[in-house]
Amino acid sequence: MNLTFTLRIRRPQGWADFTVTVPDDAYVLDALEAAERHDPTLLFRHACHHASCGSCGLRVNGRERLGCVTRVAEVASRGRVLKLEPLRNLPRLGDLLVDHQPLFSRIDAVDLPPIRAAASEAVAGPQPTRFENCIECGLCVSACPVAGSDSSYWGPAALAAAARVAAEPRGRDVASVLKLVDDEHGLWRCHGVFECTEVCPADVDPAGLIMGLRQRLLEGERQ
Amino acid sequence: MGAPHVIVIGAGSTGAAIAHDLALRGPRVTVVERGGVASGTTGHNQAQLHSGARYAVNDPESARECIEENMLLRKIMPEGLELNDGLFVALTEEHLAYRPAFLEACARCGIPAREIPAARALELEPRLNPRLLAAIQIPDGVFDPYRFCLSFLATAHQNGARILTFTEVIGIDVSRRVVRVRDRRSGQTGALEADLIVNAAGPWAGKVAALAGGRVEVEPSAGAMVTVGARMCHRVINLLAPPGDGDIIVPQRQTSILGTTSWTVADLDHITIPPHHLEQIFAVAGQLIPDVHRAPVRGVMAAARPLLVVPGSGGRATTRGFACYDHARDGADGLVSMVGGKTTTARGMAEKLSDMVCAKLGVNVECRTRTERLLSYRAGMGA
Amino acid sequence: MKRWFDLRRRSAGLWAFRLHRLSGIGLVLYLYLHLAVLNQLRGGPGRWDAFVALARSPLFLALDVILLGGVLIHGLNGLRLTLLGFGRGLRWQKQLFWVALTLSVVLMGWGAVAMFRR
Repeated sequence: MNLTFTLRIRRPQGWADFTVTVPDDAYVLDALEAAERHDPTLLFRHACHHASCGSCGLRVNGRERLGCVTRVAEVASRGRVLKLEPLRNLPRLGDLLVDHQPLFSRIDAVDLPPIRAAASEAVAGPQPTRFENCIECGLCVSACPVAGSDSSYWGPAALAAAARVAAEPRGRDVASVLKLVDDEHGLWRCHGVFECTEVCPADVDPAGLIMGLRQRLLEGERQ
Repeated sequence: MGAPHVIVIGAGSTGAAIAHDLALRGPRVTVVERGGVASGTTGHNQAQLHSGARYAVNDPESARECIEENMLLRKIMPEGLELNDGLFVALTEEHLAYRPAFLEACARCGIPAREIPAARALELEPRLNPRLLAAIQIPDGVFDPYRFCLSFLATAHQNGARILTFTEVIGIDVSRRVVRVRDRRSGQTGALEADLIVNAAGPWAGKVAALAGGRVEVEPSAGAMVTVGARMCHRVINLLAPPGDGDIIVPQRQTSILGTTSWTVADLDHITIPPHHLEQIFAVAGQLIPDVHRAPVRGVMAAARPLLVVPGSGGRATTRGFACYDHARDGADGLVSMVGGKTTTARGMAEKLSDMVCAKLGVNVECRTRTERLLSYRAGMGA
Repeated sequence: MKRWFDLRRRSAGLWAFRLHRLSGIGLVLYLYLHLAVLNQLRGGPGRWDAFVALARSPLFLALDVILLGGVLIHGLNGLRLTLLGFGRGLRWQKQLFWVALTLSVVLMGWGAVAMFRR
């Protein structure tokens, strides 16, 4: 079974419509690739196609999603319009393309170890490790209204990363990381909107981590 | 006269590793990539850091390359890998019969392979099929393909390389060593002059070589993979049998990647997965870890592998080795191509190619990529 | 700033944020208004009596109800935010908002009834 619908893409020159037909189990990214067949100048990012690289983030009907794991059937139906726009609050490079480097740089500044301990049901054996949850996709940054009005705000991803460093240091200098984010543009700039946690595709819960770290800092001061 | 300028076409694992190697040896490097980093084959990767055991019996040369590179990557990107080893699991008598040949081949290729009791395997990986008969532990690992490339590129960038993404090659005037490109963001075209051009375009290597009048044969063999939304194991789980479809489960973060299959494709850019392939993957993966049937499907992907064509073979028997071609041999002097290979061996492939490039350019510097630690993938590549 | 009022389907947390902003700005404006009104006292008892007459009009009472609503939502959501900011009750952040909103509406209704009955 196929689905036919209109992809309305926000390009620098304005909205552009593409009529695409894809199998009914296709993902938004597949629809974009179908549209690219009509117009090879269409710009978008993709790599892993399984929600681990974080490069395909975009806004689907106004809501932050990863294109590779969002099924078209869930967000569009026959004849309807599926609106695609780039992520907010990151520099726009064209069409659906944004620059993730500001996000990478902030997470680099808090020096989040890419590897963490993995929870295990194993009865024996060494402690397994795995990559951190955060795939640095930027959906949280795009959804955050504070990041939208204050470009010096560290943002949910970087602050969540700082909280992770504090929780599992792996040799990092936790005190200096905390000093970095214990700042009016850091931890204290968050207004508890929780949109970041809502849109995160990787179970990071940035809002929860930010509040938890605030609690830790406040309790630390009392000592 | 400054340092020679090398243009590398392709920012997948091959191009990224080549850029890193050359940048360390002196040449000025410009990487041109028509899409984003790893938007070709490397991105759609099962992310397995091969121990080489899978190839030990049928393709010992590949196997040796794998284990050597596996150990080197642990040194140069220690925080870029999930390192929990892997298991080859026997479920039937037939698998048990394969065991001696497998162990012997691993020993010959220098792959540390250790048989562990079935009961122990279940303690380590509780979700394994309880009917398993034997398990062999080998040093498999897991990488993140996108970040793998970003690490190499970030390091190359720090050493002076220029990385141009969303920049498409539209023509190659090989006699003048000029590459015509279109910046897809601005729509503008331009020409880049080089002293040598490296074709690292993976399955598109044939098309790119043709732009320069050269010839390269790559078998466009596509493979499908399914990612389920649960981490079913910590070790890479392989079936103890000659390589077949759907016989590997790779954990990554909080998911598991099941794969893979193989079929020939005509159009590299738009691959549709034949319907029974996903069923086949679940059928085999479900024998290894029965719970995969209950896990939600997170994503489905397929990509074309750049398989080296060896005359007289086909399909799975095609070697997963690699080769470097100097197109001086077919009248396109100025272009060299890197064909075949896998991400696990990207560094080693790049070493061989860079040796060839430096010999041609008269750059008398040895490869340093075996020991040079890579920068974090977050360091940035100016693109 | 116009993104704060992005009218697309979003979650409870963002609605709480919007209402908090709106009520906050409203209360600040009210503060200025209140000071301006108190300034009337300088005009002597006559001016004040005229104002009180105005303040008893239905329109004014209606605005008072809205003011009450603003105070309630801002105050109750403020308590919610304080709790969350200390890392408590994070799992129930949405439910806490609905409770705050419901309580505000109920108390606002009660206040409206009390005010108009007089």
